[in-house]
Amino acid sequence: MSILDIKNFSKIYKGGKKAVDSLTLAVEPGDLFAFIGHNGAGKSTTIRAVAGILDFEEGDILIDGMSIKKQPLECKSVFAYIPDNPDLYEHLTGIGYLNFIADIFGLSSEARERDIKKYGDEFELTSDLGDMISSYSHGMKQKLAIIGALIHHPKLMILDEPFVGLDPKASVALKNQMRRLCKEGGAVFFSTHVLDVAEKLCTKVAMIDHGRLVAAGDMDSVRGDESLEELFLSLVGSEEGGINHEK
Amino acid sequence: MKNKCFLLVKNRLIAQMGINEIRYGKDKKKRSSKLLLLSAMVIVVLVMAFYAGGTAYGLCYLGASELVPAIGFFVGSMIALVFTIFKTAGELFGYRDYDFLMSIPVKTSTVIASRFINMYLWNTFLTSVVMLPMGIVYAIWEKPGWFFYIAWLIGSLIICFLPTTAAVIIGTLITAVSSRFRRSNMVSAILFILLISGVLVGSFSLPNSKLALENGALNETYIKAMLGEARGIMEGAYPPVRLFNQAVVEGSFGSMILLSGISVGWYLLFIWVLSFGYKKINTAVSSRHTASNYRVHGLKQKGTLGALYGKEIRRWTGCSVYFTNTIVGVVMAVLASAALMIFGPDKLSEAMKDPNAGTYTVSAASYIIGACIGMCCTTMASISLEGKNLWILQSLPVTMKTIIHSKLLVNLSITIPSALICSTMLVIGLNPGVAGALVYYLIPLAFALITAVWGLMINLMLPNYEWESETQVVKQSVPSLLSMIPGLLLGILLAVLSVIVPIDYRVFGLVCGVVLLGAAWILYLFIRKRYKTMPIQ
Repeated sequence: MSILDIKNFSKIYKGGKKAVDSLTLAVEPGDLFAFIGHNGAGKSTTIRAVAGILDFEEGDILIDGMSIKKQPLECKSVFAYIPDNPDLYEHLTGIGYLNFIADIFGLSSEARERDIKKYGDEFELTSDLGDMISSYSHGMKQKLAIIGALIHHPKLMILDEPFVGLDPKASVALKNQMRRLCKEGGAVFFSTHVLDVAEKLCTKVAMIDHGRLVAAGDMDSVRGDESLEELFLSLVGSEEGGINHEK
Repeated sequence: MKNKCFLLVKNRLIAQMGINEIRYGKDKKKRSSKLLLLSAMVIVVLVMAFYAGGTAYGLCYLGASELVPAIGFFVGSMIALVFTIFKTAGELFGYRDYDFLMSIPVKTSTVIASRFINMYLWNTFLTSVVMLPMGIVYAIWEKPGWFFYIAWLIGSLIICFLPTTAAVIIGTLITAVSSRFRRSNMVSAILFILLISGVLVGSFSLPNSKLALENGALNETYIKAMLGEARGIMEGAYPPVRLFNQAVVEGSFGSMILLSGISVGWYLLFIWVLSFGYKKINTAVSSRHTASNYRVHGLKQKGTLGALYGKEIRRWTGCSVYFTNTIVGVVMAVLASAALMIFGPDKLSEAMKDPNAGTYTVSAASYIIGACIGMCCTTMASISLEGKNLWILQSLPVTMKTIIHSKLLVNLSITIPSALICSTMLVIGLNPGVAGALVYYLIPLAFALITAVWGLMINLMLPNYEWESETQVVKQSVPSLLSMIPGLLLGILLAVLSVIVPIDYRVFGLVCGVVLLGAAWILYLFIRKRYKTMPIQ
């Protein structure tokens, strides 16, 4: 069973603009799935719909076999979501935010202390957790959001541009955590503009152009002999887009 | 320099009034919301102007027209003072586009001047809502000479200089002190509350009236004498009132020159001095207290409701404008109840020189306390304040029911203990008997409940997540108007009715309390049925 199953998903905004058009793709356990496309292609719209933030009219999105429309709470217990701009509760301290997330997911005192320390140390944020989030830099907020996502051990991580603002060490730590999750049977579905990272890190890839899927599948088979960058430019470089190269 | 200053002022005004959103915005709902807000503001301004004009007419009718300038100038100055104190932190220091403005080729003094001109324009507009109608009524009634018109016009243009600078000094000191603490917003809010309480308690120490009602009659002589006393108090509390009064009533040219010189001179001097330390103050304000020495320990597990409740409480205490704006009602309720407990109905009648004052107070006290508690409505902004953090609640496994309960609980955690404390003080002070005591507890509690539910419903209907400053949703939004004013008016209306309706006040109170509780329950059921997810703007 797919851990994330997007079936004929379409999103039409007010004014009639179709941001995403009949998107279908599946993320299996163990997949490290990159979702790429140009600005305004429909990546964030898709990710927000998967995370249960954006309502949609057509199609369905199943997470671990459950519909995000019909069983939103059950779905949200399974995944962790981090948006492209992690606006966190600035009136809380870092530890206050992590404790809040731990409470929502019902983590025991021992489990949260252990994991907050573990991930806090890995992302070099532990000593700053007592400070107000309002004093954090963009990168520190991003690290905090990642720690908040990791402590409740989700089956699926849904990330929108997760590497923006992270320092090199934190980027490596995040990549390691993504790989670990996939190795343990979970999956990661994330959008990125950094094609190099996607190419080296991911096992699967999907490309979206003007709301339509233009390529999807295993990284090696989609890419063929080209680099991901060359493929991307050839597929979504033209204004028309919309050529289906799904494999 | 002038052009740059003009551009900065123009841009700021356009942003504040949302003109571009109205003119060019594609989102109809957002445009409607902006238009609704502007319309509500226009209505409030018209009501204020009508009230000011009505007050001036009443004074003239009672033969106390010479009091109109003093009251107009005093009230106008107080409006400028109050509005500026709360705006200083976000308008003059620590505003969002500070970094941008400092990075473009514009002098610091030009930036300060533009910010001050902006504050001046708003304050002059607000004070003119009082000064203009009062001046017109006075002029029609008294038909003064030409000098009155010049003096009134100049007075209207300079009225806000002194209170604005005083407010900026107070606001800056509070901001500067609070920025040294980790929970700076909380410290700032507490300092504001101490300031407000100090003013309220200080007002009790103003000289008591030496006048007595002749045979309990409220006649023209008594009212004139009372108003004369009031003018004395205003002039004592704020001496420029005397200068303005001398200028417009007695036609004193010297007083006008002196008042103008003091106001403008002080204002310019203040801006000049401030320009030297502006960057330093801004750096201090925008700096955050950091310790970076945390060690993971002692984390306790709570339930989902507890977690959301804790987050909401920190939201409330972590935002000074939210905290002070909502706590003022509770502070007023506690201070009023304490005063009634100390004085009791007999001393009150004695102090007010009216034998019926005590009886009226026994009937109306619980509604006045209820109205004050009703001003403490945290729910009216609790949805909008999620702002850019909305994604957190939307993507976490929490039910809307728990979110609703957490927001209501925060409001009730403040108002219910306050209502119980106030009611107990009223029962001790006014000694109303068992049935009266029941009403004294019932009414403030009913107000606490209906206020919380009403505020939440209004904010769920009219959420605004795209604010730039919390002040926008806490003080300048349609929900803030719609949630606070009806409760206040209802309390005053019921207080008046409890005195004039020929029914025992305990029976009247019981009926009112039950109706209010019933209405709160119906609104709660409506919210639960209507809102299954967080509303989208």
